Amino acid sequence: MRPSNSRFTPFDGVSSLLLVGVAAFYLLFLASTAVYLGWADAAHHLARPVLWQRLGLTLSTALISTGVAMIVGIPGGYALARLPLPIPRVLATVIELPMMVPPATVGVFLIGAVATPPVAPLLKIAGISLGHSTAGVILCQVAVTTSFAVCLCAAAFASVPARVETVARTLGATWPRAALGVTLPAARNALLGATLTVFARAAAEWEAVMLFVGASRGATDVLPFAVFLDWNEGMMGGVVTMSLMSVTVATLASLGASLVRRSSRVG
Amino acid sequence: MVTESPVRMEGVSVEVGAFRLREVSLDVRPGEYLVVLGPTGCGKTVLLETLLGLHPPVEGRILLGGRDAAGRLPEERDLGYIPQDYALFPTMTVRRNLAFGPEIRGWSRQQVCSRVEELLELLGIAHLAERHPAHLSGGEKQRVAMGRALAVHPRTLILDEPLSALDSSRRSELAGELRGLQRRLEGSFLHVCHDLDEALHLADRMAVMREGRLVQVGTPEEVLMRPTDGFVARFTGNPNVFTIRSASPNQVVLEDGTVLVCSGPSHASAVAIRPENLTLLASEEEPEGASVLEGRVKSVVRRALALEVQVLRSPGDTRWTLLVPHGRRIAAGDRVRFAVRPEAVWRLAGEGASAS
Amino acid sequence: MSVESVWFRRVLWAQLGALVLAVSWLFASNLDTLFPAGGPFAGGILSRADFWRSLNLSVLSATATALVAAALGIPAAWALSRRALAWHRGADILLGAILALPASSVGLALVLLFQYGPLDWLQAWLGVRVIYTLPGILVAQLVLALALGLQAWRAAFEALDPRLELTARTLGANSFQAFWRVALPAARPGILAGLVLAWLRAMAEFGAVLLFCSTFRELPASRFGELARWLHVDRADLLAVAMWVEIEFGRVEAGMGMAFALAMTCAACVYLVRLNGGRIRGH
Repeated sequence: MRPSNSRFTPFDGVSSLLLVGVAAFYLLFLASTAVYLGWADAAHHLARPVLWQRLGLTLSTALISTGVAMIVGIPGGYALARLPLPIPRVLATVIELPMMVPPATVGVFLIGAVATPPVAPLLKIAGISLGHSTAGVILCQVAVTTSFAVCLCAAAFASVPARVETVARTLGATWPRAALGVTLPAARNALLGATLTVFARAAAEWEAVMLFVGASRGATDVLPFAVFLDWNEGMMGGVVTMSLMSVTVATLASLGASLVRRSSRVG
Repeated sequence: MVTESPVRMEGVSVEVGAFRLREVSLDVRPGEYLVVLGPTGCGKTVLLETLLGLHPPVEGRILLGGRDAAGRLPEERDLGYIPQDYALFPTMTVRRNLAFGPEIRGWSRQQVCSRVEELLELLGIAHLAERHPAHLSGGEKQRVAMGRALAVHPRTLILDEPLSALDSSRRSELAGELRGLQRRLEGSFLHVCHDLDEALHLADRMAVMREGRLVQVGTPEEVLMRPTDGFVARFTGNPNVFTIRSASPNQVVLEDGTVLVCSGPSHASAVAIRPENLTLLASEEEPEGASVLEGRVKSVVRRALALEVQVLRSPGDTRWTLLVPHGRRIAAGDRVRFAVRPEAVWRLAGEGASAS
Repeated sequence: MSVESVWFRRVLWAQLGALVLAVSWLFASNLDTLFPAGGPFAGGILSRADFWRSLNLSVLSATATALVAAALGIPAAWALSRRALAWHRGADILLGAILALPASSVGLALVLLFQYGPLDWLQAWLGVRVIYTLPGILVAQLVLALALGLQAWRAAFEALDPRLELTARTLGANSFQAFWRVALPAARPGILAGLVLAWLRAMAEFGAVLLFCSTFRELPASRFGELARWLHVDRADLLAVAMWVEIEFGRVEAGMGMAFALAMTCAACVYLVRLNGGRIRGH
C-alpha cells in the first residue's frame, strides 16, 4: 500500500510533471508517423505493390527467424533457468553479448563468420549464397534475436517455481516429462509473450542486414531497411508510409505481448 | 487538568477496496496497552492505516491529542509505527536506523547521538549498533524497530502484529519485553493481532474486531467472562454458546430443552459457559444449586494444560466442551455427568449459537 | 535418477555449450581479419585520429545520454510506481511499443517531430536546431535509452517493501526525504542496472542517429563549437556509424577493428555489472 496522499512538495510536482511529460512525448512520438502522414499521398503509395511486397518480405522473414530463435530459445532458456550449477560470469556475459552490442556490429561479425570454415564449405555444399539474398536477411535476424529469445524464455521458465517440477517428479514423472508436461504449459503465456516480442524485434531488424547483406530490391529490402534506403534517396512520401507499416507491426506485436503476459500474472 | 486521549476514533468509517471499517469508535487512554484482536481479514490493518493517515475517513473523525487529525499527513501525526515485518531501512546500520527520525526533525548532532545511545541502552542492543538489518534475528529486528519509533517520543506507539514473525518459543519472551517497555515508558501502545494468548498477555484493555466493526471493548476479564455476543465468546476460547428457547429471571431453557438454573436479564437470546467452569462429576455426586447434565463423550484431546473433552447431549447432539485435568480416566464413548453452576452461565443479548 | 533424466541434463548442458560456442565463434572467427597479411593491425585504425574521436564521441554521448535519462527517468519512474494500476499497464504497453520500433522509424519519427511537428515551434522559440547536430545524437539516443531505463527503474521501485516509505514518513520524513534517503538507497542495485542498460542502449544506437543526424565527418570544422573540439568529438561520427562507413568503402579490416572496439566495450560493461552482482535482464 503506497501512501497516495501527499502534500505537494516540489519534488512530487517535479516527478509527476516529468512522468506526464515523458508519457506525453512517447505518445506523441508513437503517433507522429501516422499524424504527419499525408493521407492522400499515402493512398497513392499504398497502391504500389512494392510496398506490400516489402511488408510480405518483412513478415515472412521475421516469422522464420522467430521460429528458429524460439527453437533454440525454449530449451536454451529452460537450461538457463533450471540447471543447478551457477553459470560462470564469463559465459553468461558471452550469451548476452549479441543483444547488448549494436546490431550493426553483429552484421559485421557475420561477414567473417560465414567466410570461414566450417560454415563456408557447408554453405557452398548447400548451394546457399548469402550476399544480397533473403537467406542472408534471415541469418541476420536469427543472429540478433536468438540470445534475446534465450533470455526471455529463461525469464519465462524462471517464473514457474521449480517446486512444481519437483512435486511432479516425486509423483513418478521423469525430469523431461515433468518439464514438458508441467513447466512448459505453466510457462505458456510467458513464452507466447516472448515469441511476440522476438517477432517484433526480428521485424524491426535492418542494421545488421545493411552491413552484412547489402541492398537488393525484392530480396533484402525489408521495411525498416527500405525506409532508410528510400530516405537516403529523398523519397519522403513512400518512406513515411512504409515507416507507418513498420510501426504498426511493432506496436501490434508488442501490444499482443503485453496483453498475453498480463493474463498470466498472479494476483 | 484533563488528560487527553492520545488517540481517539469516533464513528470512523472507511472503505479501501474490499476492506472496510464501520463506525469504529475507539479510545486509547494515556499509559494504556490496548490490543485490537480480530481474525485475519477483519480490517485491523485498515484501522492502523487510517490512523496513520493513509485513508481519509468517509464518516467520523480521528482525534490525536484532542485535536482533529483531518488533513494531517503521516509525517505530521506523531504516531510511532512498527509494521509487521519491521521494515528496517536495509541500507543503514542499526545506529543510522535509530537516528533517522531525530535527523529528519533537525535535531543537533549532539542530541541525535545521545538519544541513539539512550535507545541502545534501553533496548539492550548496543552490541548491534554497527550491524545491518540483514544480519539481525527476528527478535533483534523488533527491538531496533521499537527503538527507531520511540526515538522521537511519539505520543502513541502503533504495532501491527509485532510477534507474528517470531517463532512461538520467542513470542512469550518478547511479549513480556513489550509489556515491560510500555510500563517503563508509561506510554500508550495500540497493538493489533489475531492471537488470543498474545492479546490476553499484553492488554490492559482489548477490542474485539469483526468484519470492520468493533464488537466489544473492555478489560480482558470483561471480554472473557462477559462477552457481548457469540462471536466474541467463541473467538476468546469459549465454544459453549447455546441459543435459548425461553428465559426467565431464575432460569433459562435451551433449544434442546435443557433447563439451566441461573439469573440474568430475560431478553437474552443465548448463553455462554466457559469450559473451565464446567465440573465433571463422579457417578453419585449431586452438588447443591447446580444444574446437572448428562451426555456421552465424543472426543478427548490432549492440550498443554488440560484435557479438552467434547460431550454430546441428546436431543439434537448439542456439543459441550469441558476442561478436565490430566490424569482423569476418560475416553470417547463414556457416559458422563457434569455440573453447571448458576454463576458460570452468562446470558448474551447478541447473536446466538448458529454458525456465523 | 532415471536414465531419461540423466540424458536430459546432458542435452541441456550440451545446448548451453553449443550456444556459447556459437556466440564465441561469431566473434572469434573474425579475429583473423584484424591481422591482414601485409597490412597494419585492424587496418591501422589505432593510429587514426578520427577513430579515437569516434570512440570518444560514442562513449561521451552514451554517458551523457544515460545521465540525462537518469535525471528524467528516475523521478518519473518513482512517480509511476506510486500511481494506480492503470498507469502501470499503460506504461507497460507504451514502453514496450517504443522499444519494439525499428531504428529507422525512430529516426524518422524524430525528423517528423522536429521538422514538421510541435517540437519545430519549440526549436524556433528557443532559437536552436537539433536535427543534423551533435546534440541531435543525444536526442536520438535518449528516446530508447530512457524507455529502457524507465522499465528497469520502475521495476526497482516496485520491488521495494511499501512499508519502508510509510515508516519513514511516520518518523517525520516528507515524500522527498522518504524517496532520497530511504527508497533510492534501498533500490540502488536496480537503479544502477537501469543506468547501465540505458548506457548500453545508447551505445548501440545507430540507425536512428543515421536518419536524424546523418554523418558529420564531411562537415567543415567551423560547424563545431569550442566544447566539441576540446572533447575531441568534432567532425566525428559515432563509432557504429564510422564502422558502417568503413565497410561501405570496402575497408573491411578497419570496420572490423571498430566492430571489435564496440563489442569489447559493451562486453566489459556487462561483465562489470555481473561482477557487482547485478543482472541484466530483458532487452
